[in-house]
Amino acid sequence: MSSSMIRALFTALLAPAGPALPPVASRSPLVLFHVDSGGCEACGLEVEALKTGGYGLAEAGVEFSASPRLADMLLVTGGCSRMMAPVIRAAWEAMPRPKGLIAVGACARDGGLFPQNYATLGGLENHAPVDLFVPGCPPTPSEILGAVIAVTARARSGSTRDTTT
Amino acid sequence: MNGGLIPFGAPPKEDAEGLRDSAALIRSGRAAGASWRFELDEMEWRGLQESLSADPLSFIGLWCDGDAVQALFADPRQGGDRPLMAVLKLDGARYPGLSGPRPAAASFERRINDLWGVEAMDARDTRPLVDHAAWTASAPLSARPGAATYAPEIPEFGQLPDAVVRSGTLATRGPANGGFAAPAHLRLGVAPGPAGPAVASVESRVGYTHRGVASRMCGGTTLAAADLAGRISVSMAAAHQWAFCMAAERAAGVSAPLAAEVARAALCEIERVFAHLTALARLAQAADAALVSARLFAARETLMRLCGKALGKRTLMDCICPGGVAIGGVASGGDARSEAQVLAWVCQELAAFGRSEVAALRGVWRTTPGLLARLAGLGMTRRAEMDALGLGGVVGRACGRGGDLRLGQAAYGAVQLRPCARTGGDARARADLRMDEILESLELLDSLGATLLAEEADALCAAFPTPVDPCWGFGAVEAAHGAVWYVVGLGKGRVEQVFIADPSPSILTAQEAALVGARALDVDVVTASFAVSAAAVDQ
Ligand code: SF4
Repeated sequence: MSSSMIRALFTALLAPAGPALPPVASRSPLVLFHVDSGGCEACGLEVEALKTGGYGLAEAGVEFSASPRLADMLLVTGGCSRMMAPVIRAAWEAMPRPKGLIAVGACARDGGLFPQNYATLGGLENHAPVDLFVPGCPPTPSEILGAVIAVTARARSGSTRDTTT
Repeated sequence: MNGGLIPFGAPPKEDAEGLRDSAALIRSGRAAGASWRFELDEMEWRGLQESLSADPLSFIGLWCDGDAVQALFADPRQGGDRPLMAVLKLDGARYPGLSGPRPAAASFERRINDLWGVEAMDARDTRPLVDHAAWTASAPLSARPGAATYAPEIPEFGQLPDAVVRSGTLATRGPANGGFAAPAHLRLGVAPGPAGPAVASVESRVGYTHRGVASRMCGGTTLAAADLAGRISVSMAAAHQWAFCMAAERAAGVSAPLAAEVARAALCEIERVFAHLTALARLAQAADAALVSARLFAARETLMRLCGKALGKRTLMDCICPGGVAIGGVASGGDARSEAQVLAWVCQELAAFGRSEVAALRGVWRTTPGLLARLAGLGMTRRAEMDALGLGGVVGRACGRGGDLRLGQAAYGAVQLRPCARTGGDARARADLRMDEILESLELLDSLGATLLAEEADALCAAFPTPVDPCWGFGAVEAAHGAVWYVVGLGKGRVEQVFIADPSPSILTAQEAALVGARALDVDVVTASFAVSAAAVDQ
């Protein structure tokens, strides 16, 4: 199966079909889309806590979307299983530009406790243009929020991505 | 300690139909490294396959290690926590499957086929479970893995019912819907029904989070394996770590100090509250009860912040280690007495939180207009099906099945435990039960905290030298979603084998059955009421 077909298939699975939004230079509020790519769910749960646990996200104009088509920033948790890789890619490609990619947790960087094997790619490090890695197994919601703010600030100031974290 | 719990020597009994007693049949095999493990030959295994159809022996798990398949059972007549393992050396790539008499074996048979390329004969379900042709090899754990297969153009799904093909639609969920649970894909055939569009066929596709946890544990240290056990699913992290450590300790003949056992029980109760709050908050969200959902999430956040502040961990992985507990804790400074005190303080703070905030939350839950009515009658499970699956936990107990491993555990010895149960079998019964269990766990935490303070522990962790000679142990813990079992083989100073049984695949099977007939607009509520952890299904 060609990779474009896989992508098309998963794009269809990802969200209700509809015309892709044209790229928008700056929008308000900041919209995040979360994908769990195969970990223990703790990182995803901490992203959920960031949304629901009184971290002032709504007040700061940050929202989560159920579709990548509306999102400015992709938050990936988990170690990027080979089954989820095309899904992450489809989500990323469905997002309008400009867009950011944050890898949340040790898994999402280099696999953490789950380095590459027959079923998983072992994180996004060598596979995707990640703007910021949030260390931790799992990181706290505040640390994830810090990363979202840092990437947003960096995008506003127009500086390039930093993968040294 | 290699068990020693199962009496030997009972000759196989025959009932009126000439079928032998399954437990006696297993015990008549050759002893295999522990007093509860027996090797059977193929004829004996076939006899077991036959006798199981008319025997109450509960099925727990079925695994492969490349050389043999191994099935674990518990005898309900002996308290339910005394296992019995049957081992069949493989002769070729097929073995007589057990899913005929024990439907819960189906997910194990499918996993064995995916990972080892070893096929169950007479299997109830031959679909792949976790291998959907995205891996670098087929049968990756076998001595000779196969070449990678390429995914078919369209994922293989079963035939849709005629009504769906004629005038229905296809609805899908996941694997990426912007939510926060682990990824899984649901494919629903929806056909017109008397009360609007209704689900006519359900197929779940899992495997998106398969990491090969058990195989990663083999060959490493028990400490590293315990870390991995804590990364199966966040809603059962402490429970998996406890069950793994219990099995490793039993194999090595090490006993954790009683205070450590009490601390482990306390950690599991905190985790149960946390898991049920998560499930209820997500359920309320799916049922459009935004205010209730917000309060439940807020309560969960309070619990997590408290744990984060006192223990340095918002989620409870990495507190339980082979030999006892290593809570660490911001304020403990590492000595056992203050570690126990910090945990006791968390328990008592949470109990107080339960008496105020959670009790009020239960009131809000009950009085929110329309919420309970919205849940009533949705996602019905039938008692007979749950019996056939041997499913306990919230899903089993919500339709009247008993059974709770905590009842027989020393760690709970000093506290009053009355497992909650309901009989409705619907989404409302499951939700009410989760609420009951939250309050019960918070009560238990009060007592467990008091026990911890009274214990005056000198040490919370016993030395754990990993044995050089091969040995086997088992462990079982009542996790938030049901019983978690581990069978662990140690030797050469490392972990040699790990077999894991988690209730999640059976909960997924129950969810599939309960979705059939559901109105299309109730699907998300029904799935939220089961709270299946896809990460625990996939492992
Ligand atoms: S980084 Fe750690 S906590 Fe996060 S998903 Fe991976 S294993 Fe779980």
